[in-house]
Amino acid sequence: MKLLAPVLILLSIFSPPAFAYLDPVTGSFLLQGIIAGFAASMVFFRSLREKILSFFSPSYRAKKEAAEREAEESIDEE
Amino acid sequence: MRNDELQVNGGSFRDPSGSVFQHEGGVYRTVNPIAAAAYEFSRDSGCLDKLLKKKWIPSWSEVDTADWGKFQLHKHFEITPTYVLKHEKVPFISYPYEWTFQQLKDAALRHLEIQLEALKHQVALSDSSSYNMQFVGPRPIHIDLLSFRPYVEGEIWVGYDQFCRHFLYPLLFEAYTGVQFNSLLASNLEGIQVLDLYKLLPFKAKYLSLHCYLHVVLRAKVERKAHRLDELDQISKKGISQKRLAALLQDMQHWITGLKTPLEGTYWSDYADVNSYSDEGTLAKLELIRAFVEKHKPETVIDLGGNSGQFSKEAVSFGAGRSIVVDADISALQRCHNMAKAEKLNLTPLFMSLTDTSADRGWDQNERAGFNVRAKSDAVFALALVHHLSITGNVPFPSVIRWIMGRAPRGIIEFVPKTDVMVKRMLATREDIFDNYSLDVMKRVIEESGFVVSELLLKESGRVLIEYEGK
Repeated sequence: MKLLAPVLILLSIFSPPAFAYLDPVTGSFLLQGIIAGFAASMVFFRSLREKILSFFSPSYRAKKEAAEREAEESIDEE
Repeated sequence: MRNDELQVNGGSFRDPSGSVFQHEGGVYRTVNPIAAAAYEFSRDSGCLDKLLKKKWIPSWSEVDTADWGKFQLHKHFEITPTYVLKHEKVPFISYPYEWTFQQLKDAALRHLEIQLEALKHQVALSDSSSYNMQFVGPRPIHIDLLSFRPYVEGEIWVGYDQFCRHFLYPLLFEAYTGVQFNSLLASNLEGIQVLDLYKLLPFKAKYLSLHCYLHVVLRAKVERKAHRLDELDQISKKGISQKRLAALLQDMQHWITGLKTPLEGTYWSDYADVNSYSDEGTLAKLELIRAFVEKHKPETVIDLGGNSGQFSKEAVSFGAGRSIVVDADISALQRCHNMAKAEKLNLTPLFMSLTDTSADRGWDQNERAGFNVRAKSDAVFALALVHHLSITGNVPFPSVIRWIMGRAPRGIIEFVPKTDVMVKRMLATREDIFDNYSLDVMKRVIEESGFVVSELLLKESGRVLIEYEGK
């Protein structure tokens, strides 16, 4: 995972000034596409990891279900 | 001002969608024609009901137009609203610069949860201001119903930049530098700017965390180039899909959940100490608090110098509605917040130096009220406090007592004599210039505007607990 950061640094050093006519808000506008793409892959890999862990480890599954139940209950109690 | 007169809230003037006002103790919100369709959509989509059921927003009702006469809206607003909503009142307004790391983190996570839930109903939020989050006990809620509007397919997270400045960057700042974010937020209501955070973060944060790299470094690089740029219309305004928007919010949730402050005390290890009431003084204090709370049933106690809230906890369990624990010890407040969450206690800790409390801020100094304005309650505790303000803080003793009494018409003030170990230690390295620091002076000042109800001497320490009541 952490290897990705240096790759991105290299990319940002060598890439042409692609955002050369942006105001700050528009900057965050364009970047959001990139950031959301990254987020989507992170979410995908995390859910994949959870599925694999739940499949192979019953204790992990039980722990996760208990945590979910607790989250639901805490709302009811408050 | 007459009590039946409507008072427009200074904090809501920026929003053309409506304003918040108070009338005869109730809190109301106007919904202007420009925002009516958005409100109707979020109401009819079931989004607001769902959020209310989860207790993530305060309850509200629509005021019948036949009852609008009493407000005399035309005197105060240029636009005639489409709706007037009556809100459940937030018991005590606080601001992000008064919160602990964990409180800001909880508020950030709640904000993201709300956005994700709203998205399921095709509703989006028009902003991500941390000033829209308020605490009821340890529980953050979103108080601005006019932030909700229909989601437009393909739109980006419009509040992203504001979310970063108000929530994410202050959290990152404290997590990576070990310096509290409070003074940075207090000096800028817009939050922390990306370029400032970029300069403040250590190397390892910027280049070893992919999240930091994307949300801070890359954004800072874009921002730096921004000032020499025009031709805005050349930009392709391609949006992101709803699925990606949800992923962005979820990933932000995941990241923020893992952030920790290096300043956090170890709650569980200190917990036993906090809860062992062995000495005579503490037990006597507890007894007095019990009698006071049972007699007066205060709605809100302001616990000045309340540390980790151990006496507030007792007050709440004896029947006080809630307690606002104000202190300058951040790790004690973190413990207080964790305890309130774990034990579901109606306590809200606030970080503040009592010799330099929050000032009036924002436009016309009327947007965010100072502490003196907000801290008006029906009971106040000032336990083991006066010596800190008067001897360490050099505030004249009568002024300390008057200020405490200004917070509530009744309360308990603990006098700590010069023979006390703590005071001796304070005076060891300085000249004793505190001639008027005495129990007699304290009683005389109380009698200027009230009277001493009871007086209890704690034999062990020589401290005196005084219950006062205003005239």
